[in-house]
Amino acid sequence: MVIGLISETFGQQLAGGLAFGVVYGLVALGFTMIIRALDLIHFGHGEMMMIGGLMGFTFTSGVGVPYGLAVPLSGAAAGIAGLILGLMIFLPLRAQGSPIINMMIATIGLSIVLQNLGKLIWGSRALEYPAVFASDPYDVGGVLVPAYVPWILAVGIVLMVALQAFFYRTHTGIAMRGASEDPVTARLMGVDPNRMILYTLGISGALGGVAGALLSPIVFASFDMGVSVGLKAFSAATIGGLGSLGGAMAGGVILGLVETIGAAKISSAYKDAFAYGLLILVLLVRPRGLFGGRKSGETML
Amino acid sequence: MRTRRSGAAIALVALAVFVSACGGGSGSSDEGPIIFGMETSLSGSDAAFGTANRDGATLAIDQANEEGVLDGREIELRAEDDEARPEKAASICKKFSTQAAVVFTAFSYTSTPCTGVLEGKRPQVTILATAHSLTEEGNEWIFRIAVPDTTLANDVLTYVKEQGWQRIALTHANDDFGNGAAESINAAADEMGLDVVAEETYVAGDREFSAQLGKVKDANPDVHLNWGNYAESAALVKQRENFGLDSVPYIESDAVATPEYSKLGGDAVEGVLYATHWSPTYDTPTNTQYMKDFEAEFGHPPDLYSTEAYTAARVAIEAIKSAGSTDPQEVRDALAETDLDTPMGQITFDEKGDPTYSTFLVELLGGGEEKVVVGR
Repeated sequence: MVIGLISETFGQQLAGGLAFGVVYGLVALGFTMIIRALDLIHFGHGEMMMIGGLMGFTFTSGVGVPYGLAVPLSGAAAGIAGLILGLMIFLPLRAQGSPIINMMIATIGLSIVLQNLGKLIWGSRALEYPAVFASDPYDVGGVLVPAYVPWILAVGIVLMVALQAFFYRTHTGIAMRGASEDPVTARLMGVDPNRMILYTLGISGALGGVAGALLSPIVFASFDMGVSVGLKAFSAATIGGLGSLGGAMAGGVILGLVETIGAAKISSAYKDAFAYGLLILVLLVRPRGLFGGRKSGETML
Repeated sequence: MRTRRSGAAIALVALAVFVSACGGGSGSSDEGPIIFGMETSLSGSDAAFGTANRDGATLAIDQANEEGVLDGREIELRAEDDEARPEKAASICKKFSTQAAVVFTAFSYTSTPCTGVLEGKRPQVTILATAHSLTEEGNEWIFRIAVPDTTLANDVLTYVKEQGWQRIALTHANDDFGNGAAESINAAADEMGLDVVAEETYVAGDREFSAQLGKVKDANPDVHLNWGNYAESAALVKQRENFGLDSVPYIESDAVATPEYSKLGGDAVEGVLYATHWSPTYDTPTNTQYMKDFEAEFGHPPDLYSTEAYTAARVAIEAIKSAGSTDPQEVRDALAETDLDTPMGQITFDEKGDPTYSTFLVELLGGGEEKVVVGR
């Protein structure tokens, strides 16, 4: 690696931070998409990750599905949950003309309800996945990289490329961008904003679900796994710039690296403090986020 | 309009007073069931302990009720869930401090809420807590079943020294449980001339340890001690291999004395040593009988937490029998005189309320098997 500059241990810690950063980024993408489409901060979005993690447990340890297949399946399950919640809660609230603040409060309640449902169905204990990754790390130029790192990075890259293609090359994707930018004109063009919102909730849910299934072999699945990661992912989305998709992923990676570097080089006791400290710093110095532009979100991605 | 509203308010207040009066303290009156109040974690990240606590105490109480305890009065166990939250634990403790004859506390495992009960002047038996600070407040109402972390640290480091390990790396949870142990370990290391070459912390819920493990690796230790809750410890033990630390001897705290740890940690737990207060392989007639009885009642063998709760309940039951009443002061005095043969060994209390027995050191062999390395 960049051997003279970074010790092997530090390189290894960075690799771990990078992987976690990508996972934060996937959840942050969902936050950002929902903000763009609905102007809504969805406090229950972290629970999409919980659904992915818990469903992934059922798929792998319960049904015996191989992990590689369980990840997209868990994503799909969370995506479906996102769609259902959209139909049951978000669209009706919008139809009523409910103010955004009410909807945000509703998402707080939703978060608690979903966690309790998770607890009810899967119990309160941490749940382990079958041994998925080789327990030996890979040796990359003297740096021991945990086995899960390349896998998580690969999934993150693939999804980003897929999203890019979706939003810029497909009808539906372009329609979704149009509907969030200018719903009136979009309607005139024959695009149904409600349907676009549903797609948004479905896709962002699926991204969260994949993140949950990716993280669970490392941190174990549990009903409360969405809480702290959800908060960090929201910070990541803010750091990257609410409304910028590329910013969301970048924000996630930056957050993951900063908290790891802080914990490794300064003090491990304050790991969370570094993550949230970064958020405060960014909000003070550059409130629209590192890559956030005008609300139109035509910036990085 | 106004009259109706205030009428409703008066009715509500009256109802509230009535209900609270009904719920209130019959624990040490002379009739009705003898209440054992238990505060423990029946959900949340400590759920494995809580249900075990409740089961262990239930067995002891059922056995006692069959034999008869005090003038035909039955013991009733009220176990309430603190959801692994300190505020909840504190409020449960407060409630029991007026209602129960004896209060059993478990959340004290991470140690703070326990101390709030002591104002109630009810005998308190803390089942799991190891933080030494609990018995150092000078309070005569608290008795401890688990070996306090001062003894744990001393016994563990005695073993470390015997193995010829000089450099100790310590990772621990940043709460009373972990910090209390860290204090004791550092003190014991000083006394024995051992070096703590790295000390890193993490918080409950933290499951990614590359920062801590990297620093442990860089410190080049002879042995790695870890003191945190079982879910975090299981994640940590799995990640050790990523840093090439799996060849370094590894000693865990009593928090991992649950099958959940091996389940979550998988193959990585093989060869791990842990300090504990009891082992299913402890070969005494009392322990063997207890294990049989437990399995007969619950369909699975007991673990450390059910055994500690069983012992706690037995100690309290004997104290009530010996005092011949449920008067708090008399029960407290009887508890101080305890000298009882239990599945955990012979138990007596010192002047602080700490038990006088020593630490078990157990090695995990994988597949749910373990063997005692240092016994009692």
